Amino acid sequence: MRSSVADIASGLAVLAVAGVFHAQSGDLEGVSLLFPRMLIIFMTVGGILVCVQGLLKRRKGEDAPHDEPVAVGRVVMISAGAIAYVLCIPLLGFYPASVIYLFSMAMVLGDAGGGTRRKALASAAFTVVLCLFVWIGFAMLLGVPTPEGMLF
Amino acid sequence: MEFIGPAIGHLFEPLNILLMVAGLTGGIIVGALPGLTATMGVALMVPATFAMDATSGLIMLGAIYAGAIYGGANSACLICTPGTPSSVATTFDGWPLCQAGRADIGLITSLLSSVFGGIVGTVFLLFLAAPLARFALQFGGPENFWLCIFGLSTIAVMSSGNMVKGLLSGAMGLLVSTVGIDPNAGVPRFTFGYYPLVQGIEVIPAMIGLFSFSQVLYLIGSYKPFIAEYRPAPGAFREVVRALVGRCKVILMRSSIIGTIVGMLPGAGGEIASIIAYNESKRWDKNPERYGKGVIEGVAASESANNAVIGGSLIPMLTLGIPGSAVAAVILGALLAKGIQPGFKVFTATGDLAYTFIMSQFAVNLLMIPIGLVLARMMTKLLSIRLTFVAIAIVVLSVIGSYAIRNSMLDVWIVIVFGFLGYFSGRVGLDTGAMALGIILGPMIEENLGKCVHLSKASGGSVINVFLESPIAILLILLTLLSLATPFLLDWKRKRRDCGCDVPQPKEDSTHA
Repeated sequence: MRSSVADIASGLAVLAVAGVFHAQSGDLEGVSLLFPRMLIIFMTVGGILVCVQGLLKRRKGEDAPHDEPVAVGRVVMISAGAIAYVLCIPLLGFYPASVIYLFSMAMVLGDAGGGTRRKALASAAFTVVLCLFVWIGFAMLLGVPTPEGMLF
Repeated sequence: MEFIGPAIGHLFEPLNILLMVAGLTGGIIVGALPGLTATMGVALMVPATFAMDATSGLIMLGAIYAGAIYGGANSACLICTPGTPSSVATTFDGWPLCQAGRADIGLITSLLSSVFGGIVGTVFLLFLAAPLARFALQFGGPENFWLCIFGLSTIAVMSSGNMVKGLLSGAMGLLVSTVGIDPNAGVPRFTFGYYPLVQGIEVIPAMIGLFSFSQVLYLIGSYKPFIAEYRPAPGAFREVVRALVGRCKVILMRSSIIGTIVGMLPGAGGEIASIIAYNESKRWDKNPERYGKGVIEGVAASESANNAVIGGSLIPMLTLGIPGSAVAAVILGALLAKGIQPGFKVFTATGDLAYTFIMSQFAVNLLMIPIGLVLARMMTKLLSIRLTFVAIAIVVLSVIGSYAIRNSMLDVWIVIVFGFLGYFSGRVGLDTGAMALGIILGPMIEENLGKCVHLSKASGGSVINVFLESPIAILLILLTLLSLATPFLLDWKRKRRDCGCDVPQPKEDSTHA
């Protein structure tokens, strides 16, 4: 991402957060509003400043790209997978949802080398080992509760 | 003194040695797992201590506490995920060391610095408990407010590359921390019509999201087959010892003292101590620009400070019955359950127990070296597992770790949302460390600001008077100003160095004249 685009995007993000919190602060008053209002004002001024900085950089040509390439598809897949996983937990329960998530993500994101059969075996082994580790370590030894689902 | 000899004798009882080893091992593992905190580890083991005598129970709880605080450094160095909030500052240099193939240096530095900090904190606990406890009592609303502002001012040094973005990230963290019930008026705020948000944004899930889930996204998108290359070098232990004993000795001492003092203050814990210590270490360094790129000094500062907090937090707990941290509060509960009333009398009426506990902290810290080395070596195996598997596993561990805090799915969603926020912030140059600092310090700042406002109303004066009436507050204000000025001073120093103004010029050679 070019540094001017990064500046403009970060400035707009800060302004958006400040705007959302400002919209929510309608009923607040007194000491409850004091601290958030100070922050909202600071963020508004700072957000505008960073946006202007970005625009000036673009105009002056000080606009070098500054980061490494990203495998966007993989990032999107693991993000979507994580959201689907968390959505499934209240329905399926922690362990069934984890088994599905671990296996499917390992299959989707795993290396293609070695053939599908080998990848499926590795993914299944990984799923079993991790679920056992979580069950023994968290549930049995530490007594940490896991989210329960409607079905399991 | 009459209690110290028998106390040392108790430490050699086989059961106590076993409890220290088990407590340390369990503590390090709990600390290394994102979401599982020292408080949780100690709290989970309190019921087990009911079957033991009070001394053995306390020894084990103390071992878990020390192990868990150190354990957080392992995941901070290996996967850029602070296992406990007090290891946030360890990621700043521990992770770059790992990326450079020097994970062993980062892990050994964390271990030895933690041991050093833990021992210094215990020395203070042993010899200076009473005067330090009285000093801690002088911290009220204004002092705590300025302490937090001082902690927050570290953003200026942390983000000296782009201070505006750093400050905005910190402000965003502070704003996010206001979600939930207002600590002063008890009014729900910024719940966006979603009732569970009344609980507020819990710090640990937010940290897991900002550092752990966002790291998963970063790693998966990086085309790397493994998290980092690992090139263990023979003699790494000796190299670290030489660095710590040589160029880091002042850093270790200063950070340990900072950790002890911050640990004594109720509400302020390892996360604040380690960040302040990191900042001070960077500020006083001759080449501060090295920090954040993988220097031993950064890891040493953070880790010695957060383990020194342990001794510090036990000072007000044992002498006044006021816990200096959440873990100290749990240990206090265990003491009370055994019918032991903390206070100055604990050193006389139950001196055997108090001194055995204190001496056990020395033993625990020394035992941490072999146990920590073995576990660290095992944890480096993580670097030889394919990145895809590690990343997917981190997501599952983040889910269970965050859920365990309040048994709430809200915390799991906080991980996801803050993960995306952290990833986006990283892409556009916002500072997730500063954001984390804002989330950690926000509730304390607001609570103490509210106290100051109420104090000013009660006294009929202005808030400014309340802020400036104590010498400790004035000292903290001065330190904050110094901290804010640091980036400019560093910039000025760098410019002088670049133009050669402070380099003594060689005398002109007359033969070339």
